[in-house]
Amino acid sequence: MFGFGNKKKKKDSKDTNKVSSTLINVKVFSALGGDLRTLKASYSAVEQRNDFGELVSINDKFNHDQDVDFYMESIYREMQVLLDFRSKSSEQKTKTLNSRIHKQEKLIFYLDKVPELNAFYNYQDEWAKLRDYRILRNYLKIDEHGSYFYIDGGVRTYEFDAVDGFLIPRWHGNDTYSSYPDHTRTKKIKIQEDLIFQREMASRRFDIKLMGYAGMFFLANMILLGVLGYGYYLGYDKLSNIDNEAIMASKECLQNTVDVNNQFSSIIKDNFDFRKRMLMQNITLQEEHYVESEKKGNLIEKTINNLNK
Amino acid sequence: MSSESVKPSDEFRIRGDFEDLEDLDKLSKLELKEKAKKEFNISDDDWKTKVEVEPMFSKETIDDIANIDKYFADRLKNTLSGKRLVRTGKGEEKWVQNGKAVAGSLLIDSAVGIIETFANKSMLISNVRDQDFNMQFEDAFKKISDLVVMPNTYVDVNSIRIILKQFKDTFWNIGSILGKTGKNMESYFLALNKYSDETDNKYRSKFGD
Repeated sequence: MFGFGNKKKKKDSKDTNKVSSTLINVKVFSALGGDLRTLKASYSAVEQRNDFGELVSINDKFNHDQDVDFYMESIYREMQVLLDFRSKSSEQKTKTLNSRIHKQEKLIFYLDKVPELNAFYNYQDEWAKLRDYRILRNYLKIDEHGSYFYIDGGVRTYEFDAVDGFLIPRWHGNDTYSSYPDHTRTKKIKIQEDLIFQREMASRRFDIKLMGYAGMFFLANMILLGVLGYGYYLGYDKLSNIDNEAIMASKECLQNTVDVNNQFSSIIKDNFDFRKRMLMQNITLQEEHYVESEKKGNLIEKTINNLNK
Repeated sequence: MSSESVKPSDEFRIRGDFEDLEDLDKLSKLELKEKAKKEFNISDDDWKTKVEVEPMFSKETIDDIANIDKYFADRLKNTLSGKRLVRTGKGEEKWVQNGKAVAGSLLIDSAVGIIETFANKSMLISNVRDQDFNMQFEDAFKKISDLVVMPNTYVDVNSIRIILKQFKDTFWNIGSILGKTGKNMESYFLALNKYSDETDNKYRSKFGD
């Protein structure tokens, strides 16, 4: 009466703050063979976006890394289309599924008892089909109005069933006040595998920044090569002209040298001939002189002899 | 809220709620066989040709290096689909269906495909360097072990280790026959054992059963 109402209001606002906060509660249950469903772990986790922009709840201590959003696996969506569920009432849906399940159970019974039949039908495949039919039948039971979390102590609480290592979220219906493990939702393990695959692919791919640098380097090299090539093309014409002139000059020079050589050799030849002729003339003159001197010598001898006598 | 009594979902129950299967349970195996043939429209000829299959390759033809991958792929396919190699009185060998399939058809086809690619003649492992072979080998085994834990490739949970061992044996046989790399096989398997232990820890949550 004296301010109690105000106190209560304050508490409510505190609770609503908790609901909108990123901190959530996680409860993991496990069915140990029989009907008993046991709470195996309970802890708080923080909602945050991972490297791929997906909203996940994380608790490092418990190695918890789960999706906050859940969506239906494609196989169950496809099955609903294939079995024409859109045009059927809920009773018809269950009837169709029941007949399918009955047929499948019978087939699996035969496969179990008569192993030779496995040559025609794969036991694992047929078993998986039955499991999918049953999951879909359970999904039809789930109340449309509800959510994957409920508020416990003002904090959002998510429940998971641990089945063979997979954490399956539980659906909390509003009208039925009961919860079901929703096996039609995609399991974390699938998403984890996708992420692992994506990370591996990303690690194998070249670094984008490095690729950018390499591209720029390549482009710069190509431009440089182009400029050099154009420069060479331009220079080639000039060089070839210069070459032609040089060749012409060298040819002229050679011709001149040949002419000079010819002239020089003809002069030498003429000189030789002249010298030869001159020499010959000289010899004849000397001979003549000798003959004359001999004649003269004889006279001298004659006179000396005459004098001696 | 430590424990609560809730009926678990019936997804993983073998038997459903239908009672007519209990009547069938009383029949003998021969009677069941005949009934199954009628129920699923299987003729006697089909039964004979599919239940007992002649092996595509025998040990005599394994000398031809081109058939190694096909030989082991054929063995693996038949083993995973629940067939056993039986010797007849005349000394002939036949694959006889006498067990349930250990893995789903998707896994069998993919694994056989991987092995055929791994030991293909065009990428013959004896011709490549040890380092390349090591990489190829680990990559192939990783692909297969990933397939085993993928939720859409249906495998009997208890047979995961058997399947992985089967793959290891297959690789061992291919590696030892192609020679050269045989000396390093021990180290490969040591590494792979380590890897398979790691995958177990990775995929199996500590909250799992």
